[in-house]
Amino acid sequence: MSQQTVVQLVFGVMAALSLGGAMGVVMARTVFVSALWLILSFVGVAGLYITLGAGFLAVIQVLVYVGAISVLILFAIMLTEDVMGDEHPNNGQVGLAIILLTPLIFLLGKWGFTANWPVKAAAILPRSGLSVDAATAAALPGALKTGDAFLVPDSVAYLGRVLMTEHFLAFEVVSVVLLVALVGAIVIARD
Amino acid sequence: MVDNWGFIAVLTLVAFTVPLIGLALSWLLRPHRPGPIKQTTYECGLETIGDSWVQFKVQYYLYALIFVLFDVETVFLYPWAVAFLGLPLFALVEMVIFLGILAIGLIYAWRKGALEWV
Repeated sequence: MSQQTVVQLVFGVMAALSLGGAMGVVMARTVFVSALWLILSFVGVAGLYITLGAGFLAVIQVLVYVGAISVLILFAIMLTEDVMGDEHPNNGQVGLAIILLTPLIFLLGKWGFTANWPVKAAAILPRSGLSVDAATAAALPGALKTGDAFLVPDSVAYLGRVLMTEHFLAFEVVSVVLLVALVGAIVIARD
Repeated sequence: MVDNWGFIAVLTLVAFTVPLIGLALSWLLRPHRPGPIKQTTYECGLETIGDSWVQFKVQYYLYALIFVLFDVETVFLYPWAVAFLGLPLFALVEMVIFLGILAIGLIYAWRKGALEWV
């Protein structure tokens, strides 16, 4: 099998996982089971990030969404008394939804296949990484020249570097945002 | 690069296969003799009381929320650690400030008793 075939195969499996998980979310009879299906969908999206060459983003997706956000959602459902045990949230409008959504999906698909995406060939596996301009590439070790773009193979190191030098203020503001979220959560939960 | 993800794919397959083999083997080997007592819910040997679908305490949610925040904090440590050797000393100061601000939040949660189980 060629590399391209493997990537297409992985993409197919991951797309099926994320779409199948999303189907499970809307089809499940209890909200709790819906949340479990959502975790499967998150895993599929992480796989899609890998096929796009964004390995670090995939790791974040697993760590934050699969690991933390889904637990938060499950706890939120377990806290809501009315939702627990309430089966059949389906409101019987499946037919209407299909009629309304089929043209939308068709149009989105048509647009997606015909649109002129600014895809850089370098951004696809196996040579995953981050494409940068020539000046940035000169400052970073191991930057590869692919066509007219420069590719940094190790995008995590690049991200860390940019975060610590150019965007250090934004980086520190993130900690303040997290602090506000923490304090706010405690204040609301204690009332 | 694709080889590295290949290893992860193989490990994922192994991780799913091993428990499935265990389940399949026990399904093949076990005798099937159900009884009314065997089919009751096992909860530390005690009789279960009431419905299992009940409203849970808000403390669980608070713990999960604090966990999400410190999870996001950990995410920022990764690129910092990978790029650390090529960075000036200022990067260390930045991370100390970043962790310090979040430590204030932890101290606040501690002082307000949010970490205590009530």
